[in-house]
Amino acid sequence: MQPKYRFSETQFTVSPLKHSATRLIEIASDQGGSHQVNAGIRWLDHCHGELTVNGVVRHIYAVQDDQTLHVHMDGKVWQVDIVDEFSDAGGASDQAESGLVKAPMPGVVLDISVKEGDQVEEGQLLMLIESMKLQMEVKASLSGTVLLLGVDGVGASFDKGAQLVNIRPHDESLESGRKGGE
Amino acid sequence: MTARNSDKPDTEPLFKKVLIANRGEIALRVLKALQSLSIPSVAIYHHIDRKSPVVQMADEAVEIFGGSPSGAHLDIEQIITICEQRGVDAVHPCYGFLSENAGFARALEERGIQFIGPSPEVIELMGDKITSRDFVARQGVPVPPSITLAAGDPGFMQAVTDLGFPLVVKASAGGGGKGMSIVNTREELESTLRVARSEAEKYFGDDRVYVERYFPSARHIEVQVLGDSQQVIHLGERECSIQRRFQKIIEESPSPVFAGAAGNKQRESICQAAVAIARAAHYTSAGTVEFLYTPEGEYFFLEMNTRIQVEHPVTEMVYGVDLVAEQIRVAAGHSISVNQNNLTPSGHAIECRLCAEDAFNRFMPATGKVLHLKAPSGEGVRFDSGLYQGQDITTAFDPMLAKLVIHASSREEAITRMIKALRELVLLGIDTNNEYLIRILEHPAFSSGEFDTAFVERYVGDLVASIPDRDQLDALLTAALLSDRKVQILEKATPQPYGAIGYWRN
Repeated sequence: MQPKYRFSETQFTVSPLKHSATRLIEIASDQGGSHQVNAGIRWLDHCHGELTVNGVVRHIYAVQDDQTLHVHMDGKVWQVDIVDEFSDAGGASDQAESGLVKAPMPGVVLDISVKEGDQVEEGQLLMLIESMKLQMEVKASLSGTVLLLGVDGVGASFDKGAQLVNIRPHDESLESGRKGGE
Repeated sequence: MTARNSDKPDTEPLFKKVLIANRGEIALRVLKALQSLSIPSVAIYHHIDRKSPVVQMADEAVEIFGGSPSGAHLDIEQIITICEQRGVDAVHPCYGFLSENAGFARALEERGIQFIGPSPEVIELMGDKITSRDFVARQGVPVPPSITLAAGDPGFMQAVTDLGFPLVVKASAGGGGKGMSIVNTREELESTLRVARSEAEKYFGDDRVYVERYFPSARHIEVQVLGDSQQVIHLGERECSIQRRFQKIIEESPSPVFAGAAGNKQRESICQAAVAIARAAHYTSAGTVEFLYTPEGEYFFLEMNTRIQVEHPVTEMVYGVDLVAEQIRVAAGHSISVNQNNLTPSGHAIECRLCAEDAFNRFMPATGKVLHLKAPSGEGVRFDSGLYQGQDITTAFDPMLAKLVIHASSREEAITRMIKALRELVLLGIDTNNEYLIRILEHPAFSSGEFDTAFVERYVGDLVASIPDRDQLDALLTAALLSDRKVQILEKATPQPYGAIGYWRN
């Protein structure tokens, strides 16, 4: 097996090579290069373990939630995403449609200042959203026409990353995804 | 936590039954005080909090309903009805929600139920930032220069120019760091006033705002007071300058700014000013007077909070007093169990507020689930939390998850032990500001004690997440591999000889 993990925008392939008293594990990064480590783990309970890597012992706590591994190590918490080899590895979401406004955090819509078809200017106020008692103004990232409002209306709730508004830029040449042949 | 000055228990409990009108960590903390006084308790909870510790541990628990979880906790009629149905004779409002709602205090009073806090008149006086300022100024305590004209008034813009920038727009019914916006230029003023009014209407039901001189480089020092029908005493000051978005994230007692003999005199002066204000208001129960403290050593009254505060534990640990138990005693008509002259503060206490947010990315609120929690422990370690295994952390409530409080014999030791405790705290499943708090504590400007409310912004470049070195990254990825359920299952299913061989390479 060649499990793949994503941490801090880099993808790693972490492969168990040998499994006896200690393991030999190979770590390869998508930035190039690979190396091997000797490792072992002694589980003290379902999420608390004593990890040894090249002779250095650490206590770790690790919990898996769907496709994310939450690890407490060296006095802080780290998140490693499991890359599903059979789905789009994705990477950083390509905001190819530059007029797309995504929710920076989960929340609720307080007020909507535009409707579909409206012409908007860069910086124009589109809507007011709120999360955990923090209000935020959502502004147009460029000038164009409001193509789509991604929320049902005032009072609608949304998750982080949800599409709030999509604006078609005035300058047609800025549109992406139209490389020949599409 | 025992109060060094606690009396022997009375033969009769102070109240027949107390309802805790709140949730989360503070509701649990109040429950502990009730248990220490052998007073039966009633917890109220919205459905999403049904598994929380206070609900599990209170003597009785009643579900409340509303359009939103917060809305349910603000439903005065529903709460009073529950009190009457359950034979409750007193309510502890904790902080937030209805704790500074004079209408709630009055409604309880009318139904013969004791509100554990000051009188409705005092709540109203101090709840309105404009009337409280005027009251305090009349007592001879300095207040920040401000404009009392309405924005539509013809003289308003001239008054703004006279006051000078930067200014702060504050909601008259606001407080606790909410409903405040800074204005640096005339151009910003109009839109800031608009947003401030809308927020004030939404959060406080009162769109009145006023404009005050803003001191960009000052400290936030507050004084804990405690009053009964006979006297008002103070329990020293708390330093609360480490803030983000006007909300405190680290607090301590005593303040490092009052070091030495000169510092002691300043401390005495500001504490006496707080007592004078509370006395003039005939203050009973626990309260906090907040001041702005300038580099020149001047102080100005900011506001008075007529409730127990989030950061009360640092005072409790230094003075050995159970402030919530004192509130309950006073509400039952007893006197506070300590005097100004027999109070003996000792050591230093620091509190860190653990919040659900991505602190290194503009403090964006985070959501998630408590997948695993292991609280730090040890001498001088106090962890006030309402967290429980499997809890969903949503946008329904405030992002504060828990408070970690450390008490030690010196400030230096408290900082060291706090860093250690934060590193030991395991909370998996939600982004928190844990590492960010550690960065602050490690910062030389924090350990020197020379900081003010601009600390977080000033040192934003230093308060960054650590980057793993090669060995750490190897350990992390190895930990990921060995914890990955799919890998574990596959390895178990693979017969040993093949496991030893590993995968075939081309």
